[in-house]
Amino acid sequence: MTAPTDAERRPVAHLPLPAGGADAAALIPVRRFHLAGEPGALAPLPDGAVPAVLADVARAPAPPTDYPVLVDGQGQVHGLDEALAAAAAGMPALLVDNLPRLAQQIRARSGELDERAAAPAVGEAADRLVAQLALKPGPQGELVNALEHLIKALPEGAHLVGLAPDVDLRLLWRTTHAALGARREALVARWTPLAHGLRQRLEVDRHKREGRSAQAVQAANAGGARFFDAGALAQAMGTHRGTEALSDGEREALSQALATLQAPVEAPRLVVVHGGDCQAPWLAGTEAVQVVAAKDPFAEAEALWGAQAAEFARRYQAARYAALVLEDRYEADKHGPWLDAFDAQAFDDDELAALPAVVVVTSDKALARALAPASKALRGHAPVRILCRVTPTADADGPTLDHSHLELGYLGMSHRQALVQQTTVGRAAHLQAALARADAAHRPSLTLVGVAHTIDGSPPPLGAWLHASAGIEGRAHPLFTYDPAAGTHWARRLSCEGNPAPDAHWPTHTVALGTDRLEDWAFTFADQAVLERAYAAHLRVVPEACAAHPDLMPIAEWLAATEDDRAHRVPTVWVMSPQGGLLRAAVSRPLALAAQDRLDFWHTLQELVGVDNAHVQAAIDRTRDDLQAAHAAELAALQAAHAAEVARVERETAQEALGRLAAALTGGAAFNLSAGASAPAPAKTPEAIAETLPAPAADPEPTAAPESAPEPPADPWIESILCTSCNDCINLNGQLFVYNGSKQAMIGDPEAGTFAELVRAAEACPSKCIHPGAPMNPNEPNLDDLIARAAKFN
Amino acid sequence: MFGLKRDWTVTLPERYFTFEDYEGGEARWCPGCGDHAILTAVQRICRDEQLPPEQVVSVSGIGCSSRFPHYMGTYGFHGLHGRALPVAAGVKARRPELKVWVATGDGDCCSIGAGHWIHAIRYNMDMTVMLFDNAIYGLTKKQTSPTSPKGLSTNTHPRGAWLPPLNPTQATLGFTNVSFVAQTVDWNPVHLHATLKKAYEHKGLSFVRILQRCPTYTDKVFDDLQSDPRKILVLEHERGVPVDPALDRVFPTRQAHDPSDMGAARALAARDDVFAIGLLFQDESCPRYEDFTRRGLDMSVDDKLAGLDAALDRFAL
Repeated sequence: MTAPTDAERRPVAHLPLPAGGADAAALIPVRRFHLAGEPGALAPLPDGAVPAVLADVARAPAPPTDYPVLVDGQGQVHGLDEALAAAAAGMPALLVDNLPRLAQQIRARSGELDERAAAPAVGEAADRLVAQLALKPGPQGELVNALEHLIKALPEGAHLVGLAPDVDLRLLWRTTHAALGARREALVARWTPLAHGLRQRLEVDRHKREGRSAQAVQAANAGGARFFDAGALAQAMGTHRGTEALSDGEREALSQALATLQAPVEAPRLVVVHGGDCQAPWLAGTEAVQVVAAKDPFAEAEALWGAQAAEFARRYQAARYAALVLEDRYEADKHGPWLDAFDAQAFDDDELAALPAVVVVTSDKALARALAPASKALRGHAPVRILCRVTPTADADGPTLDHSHLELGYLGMSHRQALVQQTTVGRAAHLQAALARADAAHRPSLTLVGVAHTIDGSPPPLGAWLHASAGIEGRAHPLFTYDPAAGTHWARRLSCEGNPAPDAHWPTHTVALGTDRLEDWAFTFADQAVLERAYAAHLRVVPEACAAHPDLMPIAEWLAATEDDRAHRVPTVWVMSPQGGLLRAAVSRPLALAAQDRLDFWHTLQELVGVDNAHVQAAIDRTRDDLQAAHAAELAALQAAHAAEVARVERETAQEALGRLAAALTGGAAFNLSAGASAPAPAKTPEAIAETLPAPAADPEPTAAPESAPEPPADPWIESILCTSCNDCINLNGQLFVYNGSKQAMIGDPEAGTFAELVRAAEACPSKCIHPGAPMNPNEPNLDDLIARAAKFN
Repeated sequence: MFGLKRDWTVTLPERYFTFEDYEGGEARWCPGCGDHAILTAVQRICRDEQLPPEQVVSVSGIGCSSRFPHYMGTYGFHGLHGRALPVAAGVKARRPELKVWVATGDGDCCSIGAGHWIHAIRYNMDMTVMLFDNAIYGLTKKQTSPTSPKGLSTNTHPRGAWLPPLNPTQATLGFTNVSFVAQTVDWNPVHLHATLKKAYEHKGLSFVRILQRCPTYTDKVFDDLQSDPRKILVLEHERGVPVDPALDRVFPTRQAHDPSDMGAARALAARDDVFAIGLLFQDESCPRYEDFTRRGLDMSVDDKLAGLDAALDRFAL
């Protein structure tokens, strides 16, 4: 039993203590179920049963969720509570106190929310909040005003995004749209001066060819024409000097480059390719999105990206050409062939980033059937992104436990140069970061997104968000990022950030048993399976008669046990019935081994990131042994030196004592041990040392700094927390002095009263918390007297 | 749990209460009266604790301070002279779930209500009793009260009060089953608020003596404490009234005091060189009378009738 943390000291739903009593006979059918899968008379789990560690959550008034999230104009995801708190920073306590209620009002409608502009959604929730609270007119006005300010303070272009089945696509669209918009604007900004330069070149050339240069200059200089004769200047300069007109070929090339650079960029920002199973009709009608259905979506995506790259290559080629021409560095022999062969290999990062995002949307089942084309795409040069939706509890073949789980992410990592990520809709910020990482990678990527629905499509018992989160907790869908660009070592390339209990086998949660017993229970893949009706056949209720039998073992312990220990034991999980009763459920062998399989993959990830890694542990052990040996050797050397020194001192002291004794006996030097010539002098005390030192020179008197009277504060102010609410000042001037929300005085309108009133209020104030400051009106009568009276309050 | 950022097991109350929800009629105390500060402190506590106004009762006797229930936007009972505490005890006996604040003055509590005072302390029912001690009968225009200092000129003793004043704190600490005694002053709202909050949180009867200035009749009676803050002794302890750092400058004199030490509490209450503010004594183990009086509250009408019938049947012929 462990002590609860602060977070766990909240009210918990107490579970009844497990039933006692052991009956070996009753255990026989349980063991038969575990080993042979024969349920016999064992009861299935009741409908609505949930893992016991989720008892608190199951009794909550509403299913937990972190949705909707707020997505800002840049595509960044913010938690709703955090976003509201950030927007309400510095606002009245009346609003801050009610932010949880406002969030509750927003969440109350989030069930029907896919995506919506944040400002009107928050506005409607604010109206409902105001109606719910039914405050008195004064505070209600204050709250309404504060809510209006809050809505204005929300991030520009913010949207609320709910946990819809296509939330991954919605976040993908928001992330990509914002990022590509900015990148293309930057590119156009880069091209604008090039286009301007080309236009000037062509204009000059036109003037040369048409011979109207002098007239054109004269016309352009209309205001100062009487001071400057361009025609005379042209004659004086002669016509044979200066630059020559462009050749027809050059003119044509420049004109083409200019037209290319000036043409609007109409390419889509997002191209979604799917194999016919992408259920997001809204995408097809969305601005700058192209949706393509294809038999082989991976090859189609590569082809589409190639086509887009070729189209953009024309623009980038024109830009390169324009830059060379404008810098007078263009040499047709040298640059011509290079520009003719210009393709995506020559794009810089900014240019690559401006290309449309080509995303293959698929599912784990579809991807498992199309491993070869997907693998080709992941090994290719086109930065095709594969967004694969994964049902964490199911295998690629469905809810079967006959094979070890196909780890698509592990398979993806074998491509080495592709970005591979595993994320979930249960962690919106993690998902958005993964999408943004794939967007910035400029290399093929595989993003596996854990979805929130159950295997058989039935409603998740504790809500979609918790179902998705259970995938992470049960190690069915651990989060990881494999980024080949992050470095040459696994330690840099692979990250498992975001997983619960990253150093442990399973995350644990504190469960209250009875009224005073707390235990930490693991949440395993078998616990997660309790939430899936598809696995109902793999769990059976253990009869109460043998529920406490020692041969029953929590599955986390069973998985950690040796084969011998496991042999006669049955793994179990604790579940809570809809009525709140605690039941023990036996786990079938296939499900237990599936849990082992998921744990093994988790261990693999841990080892790859350096947690519980045998090589690392061996290195640690070796280093510790080396250090201990070195330490022991140093200690032995010091002890030997110390023993030698002690022996020497003993020897010399004995000789000296004998010498003195001999001298005394033979009438030599006086025998005075306390004043022995070789005896060490006692150490001096600090006082004695001080006496021997010359007296320090007296410090000169510190020169007193001229004290100037502190300037009184210019503005009047009130130390409100000291105000006794006695009304003295308010009665004096109800505009100059007002009460705050806690009915303590503060300065209202400092121009609504006189300095005399401030001084009188300060004198009357029983807690002396009014500070009149300096007069604002220099013409106020009796100012000298008032300033003198105010001085002691400032 | 599961990455949840907030506790989903907590249900947010539907309602939210602002300061205005605890405001009743406009307070008619004199400007500068210390009662205003006490009223504001109680209203702030009610708001901060989000107490539903219908779950709060303020009870008073007679006197300036006993106008208190009129100024609270809650249920209230303006009782008879000296009878604030029995009324409050009656409320608590049958409605133990209500939060009860008692406003009583030095005359109301320590003179005509002294008998009730003793027994209310012994009953130790869960309520907050605020003794507004302004050392005078103010409502009736300046008569000597039990706590008037010796020599104070009043309408009943124009040449000065003859007897030494009664010390309500010392007296309360002598009553059986006392469970919470604290002192504070009205002119420091920070300490006043902290003390009343501590009293509110106490399970049992919390008795708080508040030195309260009357700007009309005893405006000089606490001058020595106000002009020389060293005469205010701030009691400090981890289980005492939390002392805001803002008070360091205002009240420099401090003393550590363990509120479970009754002997030390009595000694502090008896000191006349300084006035100790803070928690003098607290013992939450004292029995509370409402634990007895609440018995049977959950009985249905039928159960009660059956019980009555059974009792009456014993007398049936």
